[in-house]
Amino acid sequence: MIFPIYRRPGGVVFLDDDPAYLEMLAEVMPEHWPVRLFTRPSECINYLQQEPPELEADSWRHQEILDRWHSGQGLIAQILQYWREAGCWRFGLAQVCVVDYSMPAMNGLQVLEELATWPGARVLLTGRADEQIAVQAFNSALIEQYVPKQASEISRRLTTSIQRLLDEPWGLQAQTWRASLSREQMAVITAPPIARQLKVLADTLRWVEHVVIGDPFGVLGLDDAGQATWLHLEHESRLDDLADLAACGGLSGADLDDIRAGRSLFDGEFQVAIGSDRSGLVTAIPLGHGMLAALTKVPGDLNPGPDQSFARFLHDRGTRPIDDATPLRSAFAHT
Amino acid sequence: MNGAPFKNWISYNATARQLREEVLHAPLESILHPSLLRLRWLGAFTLIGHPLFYWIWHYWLPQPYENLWVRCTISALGGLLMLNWFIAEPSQPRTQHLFNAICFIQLPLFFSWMYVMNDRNAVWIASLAAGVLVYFHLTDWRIAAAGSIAGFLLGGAMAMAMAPTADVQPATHLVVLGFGWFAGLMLGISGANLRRERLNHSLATIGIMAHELRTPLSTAGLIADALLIEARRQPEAPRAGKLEKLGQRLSALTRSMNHHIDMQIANARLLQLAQYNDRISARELVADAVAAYPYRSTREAECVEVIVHRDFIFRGARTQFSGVLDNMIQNALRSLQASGSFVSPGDLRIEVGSRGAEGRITISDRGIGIDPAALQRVFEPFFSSDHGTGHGLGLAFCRRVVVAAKGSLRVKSEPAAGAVFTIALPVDSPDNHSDEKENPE
Repeated sequence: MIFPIYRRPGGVVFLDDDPAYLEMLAEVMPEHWPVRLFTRPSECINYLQQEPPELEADSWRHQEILDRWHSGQGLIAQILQYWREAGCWRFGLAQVCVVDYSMPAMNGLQVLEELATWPGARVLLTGRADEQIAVQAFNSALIEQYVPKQASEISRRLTTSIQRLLDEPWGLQAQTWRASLSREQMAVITAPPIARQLKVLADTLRWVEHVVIGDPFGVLGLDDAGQATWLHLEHESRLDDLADLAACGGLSGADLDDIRAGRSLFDGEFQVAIGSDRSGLVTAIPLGHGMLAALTKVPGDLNPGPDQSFARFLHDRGTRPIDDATPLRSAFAHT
Repeated sequence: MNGAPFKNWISYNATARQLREEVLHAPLESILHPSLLRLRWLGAFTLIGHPLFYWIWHYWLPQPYENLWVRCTISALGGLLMLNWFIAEPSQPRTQHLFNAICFIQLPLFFSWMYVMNDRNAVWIASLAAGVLVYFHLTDWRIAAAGSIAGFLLGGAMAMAMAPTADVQPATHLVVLGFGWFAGLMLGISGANLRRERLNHSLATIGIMAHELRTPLSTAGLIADALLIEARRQPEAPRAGKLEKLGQRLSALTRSMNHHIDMQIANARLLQLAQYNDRISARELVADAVAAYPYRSTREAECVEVIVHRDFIFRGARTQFSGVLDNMIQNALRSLQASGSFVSPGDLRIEVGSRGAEGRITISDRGIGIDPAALQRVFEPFFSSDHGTGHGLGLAFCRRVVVAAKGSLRVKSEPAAGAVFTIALPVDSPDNHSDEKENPE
């Protein structure tokens, strides 16, 4: 169990020469997946090949946020700004592509060879007779997974396989964001019990995108409706320092005792980061291993809001048409 | 001589590979076209032919030598071919050995002997050459080629011992005989090759058909999933239960079709069975096959009864043996269904037992049974007693698999009383450790 440093929804692209099969796949794949369906290999390849530059540009924006942090700008405000401005087409960038092996024009592995520069995960759909080919492709690292088409409960198998691949961290971005974390902070979020707790929290809050940052230490998460939340992380050993900080912020008496006892955390750092002066106490949630967490909602206008939300993005995509190769960015030009 | 380059040459040269395939790997067909009618005709021909020719060569167109007793003995041997108990199971090794012996005695051996006894005259060199050609028509070309040479030598030697003559073999006769032998050999090889090519093509066609069915079937599987998802999305809707039931039916149907397609694809590869050497427990094999079989109804599932007297371990290809059990269960269920009566528990009984070095799996059903005329051919590819639904590859596949594991597959049946298939296999002793390759699947 790992809690990824950076995570957001990714799209799934299916390529199969049989439109009837694709139509049914679209029907059974979970509704919260941005899905694209292709029957022609060339269109699928073209579509996926226009993605790496977009992804590159997006990663560059992340890098810029960290560069500005090095020169003194806070991370939280910058990330919230990125979420408000980046455009929700980013949710549709394909993270997994599922290709049928036996197609008339070119076989699935040939398609994947053409996609050498595309960074996402690859799944091969096979008939029973092609299983040997799939095993070879897997062993030579051409594919991440293969699923036999006639397996019983094919949709469940496909869904779990793809979900696992979607849950994998975004490599490039995770690298970028790691830079803001100290070694101790990394150790905290990679400890399995804490990672598990964080995952549960992220799921209950319906987060679709989140970033773990080190300054201040915590997780900034965005739910599917466009509401952002700050998850403050603090170690017990630093509660006295936090109480001192709270005292400076005008708290006193019983409040400071609550902080020292680990019953509450003080959210001053976060409020300063978003330019607010309404700091106060937040109930602490014990995560185990001496770690405490506390949740603060990001107020009003600072949120991307429903118009820039993942739910809106899915709604705007509507049904799942076949062979729709419109580039992501232009399809969501209005956002 | 250095063996390595030769081995390389054999494995890389296509012609050499083909030759090796033809000579070493193609299964022996002791009885070519073992149909009931053909065997009966052959028997009748032998039974009547020998006395008839005795009369011709002795009275009508006298030749130097004839022997009534030998003629009568061979004629009686030919009579065996007309007996039901003999030809009922032409794929049994016993039957095949006997057939080989009869052919050998009456063709190369007898004709060579008569040829020398008759002072190597023109009548008998012609007869001998014709006999050789007939021999190549009756049995596998490899048996015919070796058998005729052995017959020449043995028959000749016997005759020389009985009536030594100083005459040397006329060279012209050797040429005629050589011509007959070579012509028989060539035609025999090409005939065998043609038969196998045809079989391969038909099998390939079945394989392709099965694959073609796969595509729409996988879509149907997804439709079933979509129905189930839809039903569970609104469990309180009035028709949700109905929808769920339909989804499950469709799902079960596609599963069962996939199962049958897999079976057909496996059957269609009967000429290219991969050799594996898994240690298989007969009890587990049967239990797994019975559990995984897609029955059409619970009633059908309940009629299967498994009795394990004594489990045994044998060596063979696990996936192929599951295919054998699948085929057996399918055949028995079809036969039960065809019998028209309601099935009840125990109508299909699978028993596992072993005694000494032999293990047995018997599959007995109380179905319609197999017609005696069909009984002897059920193991032939494309022979089906079930025209319309079966294409007759299943039992051919089963036999290949069982024989490859050094076992035997036999059938006994009474019409209207069901059939009993017995798979006999050599038991693998526990100390026989697996130094051989295992099935990677």
